[in-house]
Amino acid sequence: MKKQFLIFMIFLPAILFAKLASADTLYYVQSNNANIRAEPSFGSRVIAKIAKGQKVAGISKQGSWIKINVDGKEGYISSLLVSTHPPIEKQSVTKTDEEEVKPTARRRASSFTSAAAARGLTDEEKKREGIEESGDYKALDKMESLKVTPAEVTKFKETGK
Amino acid sequence: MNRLYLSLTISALLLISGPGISQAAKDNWRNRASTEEVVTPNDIVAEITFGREIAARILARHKAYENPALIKYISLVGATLVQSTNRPELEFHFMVLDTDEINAYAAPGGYIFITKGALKLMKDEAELAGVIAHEVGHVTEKHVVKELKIKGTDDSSDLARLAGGSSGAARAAFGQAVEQGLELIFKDDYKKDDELQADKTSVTISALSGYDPSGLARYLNRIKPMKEKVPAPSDSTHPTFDSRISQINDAVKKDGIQTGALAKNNNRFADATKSMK
Repeated sequence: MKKQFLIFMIFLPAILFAKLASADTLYYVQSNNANIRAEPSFGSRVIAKIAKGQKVAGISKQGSWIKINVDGKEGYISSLLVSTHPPIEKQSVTKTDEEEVKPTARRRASSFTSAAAARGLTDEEKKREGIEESGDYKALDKMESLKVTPAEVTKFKETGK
Repeated sequence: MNRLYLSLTISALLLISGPGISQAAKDNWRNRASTEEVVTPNDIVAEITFGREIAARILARHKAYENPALIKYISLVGATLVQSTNRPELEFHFMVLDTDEINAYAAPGGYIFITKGALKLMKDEAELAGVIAHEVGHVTEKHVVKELKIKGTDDSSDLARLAGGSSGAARAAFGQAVEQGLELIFKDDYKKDDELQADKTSVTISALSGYDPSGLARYLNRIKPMKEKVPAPSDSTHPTFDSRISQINDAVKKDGIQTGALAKNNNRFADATKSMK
């Protein structure tokens, strides 16, 4: 009997591991909304739409599609629209949006320095290390200041149809 | 009692040989192991900080093209595409580089560049979208981030140590890491798998955004004779144009994408780029 008990105890971790391995992977929708399709194909009909942040249970992967279960219904979502972590707020190391954009390379020193300082790297330190000399930060500032609004994107998409 | 243990053991065997270790479950386990990741806001800040350095250097090597209307148009195409990605934490930025070189670049954190030379060879907006989506794919799949182990808070990671280091040596090492990233991007020296993955990602992002995803293959086919004159930095590891085009066409077919029903926007592209030609 002890032998049989021993055998069972040996198999117990395997049982637990096997059950763990078969547990669903949880995914979080990262795009504003996502279509769930009946089959793993863009030609397939949309059976549901889910919103950013919604958690779905992944059953299996098929190429660039993930078979999921959402609200008791099975369907497929593009793997590009989900991650295994909840959506993270937009991050920035540049100036805040409400600050005025001024056309000088140094105008953003305070904002970038504060973020870079958190990383242990101020503009002055970068300059000392020769990093700044080889980068065009003025052009970078300009690039970062050019933004399009969600409303402009919506209009752009509509006029493209 | 013996029967009890026997039945328990049989149950255990059944569980193990059943759904628990079916092929799907094995695949699921492998997929989970490869895709599950712990990402913190500090990781993202580290990625953007690193990407900014690279972007600034790209802009030092090639001047930004002074054409606000064109940049706005490129940004709108780019913003349309990034709505269908899994990186909402990034603010993507787009710029045209004033050079006749035929190229496009992506720096971590969401800095996307396309050259004037590349734009001149494009025929429609779907081709532009395909190229931008390919570069966006390098960012969403974190190819440089993974290659150079960019993390924000993990003390064991290389870049956290370098970027967070207070010593001159640590800062110099950070500069060296930036150089490494720059070399990877400028020499287009991504791993073969990464390059192919960016192409596949481009197909999906384009289709999700309503663009004909075969635009990238059409563009690659057009630039192939010009680009093949210059050998790739590591031909043995770099995918050929033919293999890329073939894979893109396969992906379009496999994903059931009806290209004819999706946008090319020839006229809008022609209007937006006429000032450049």
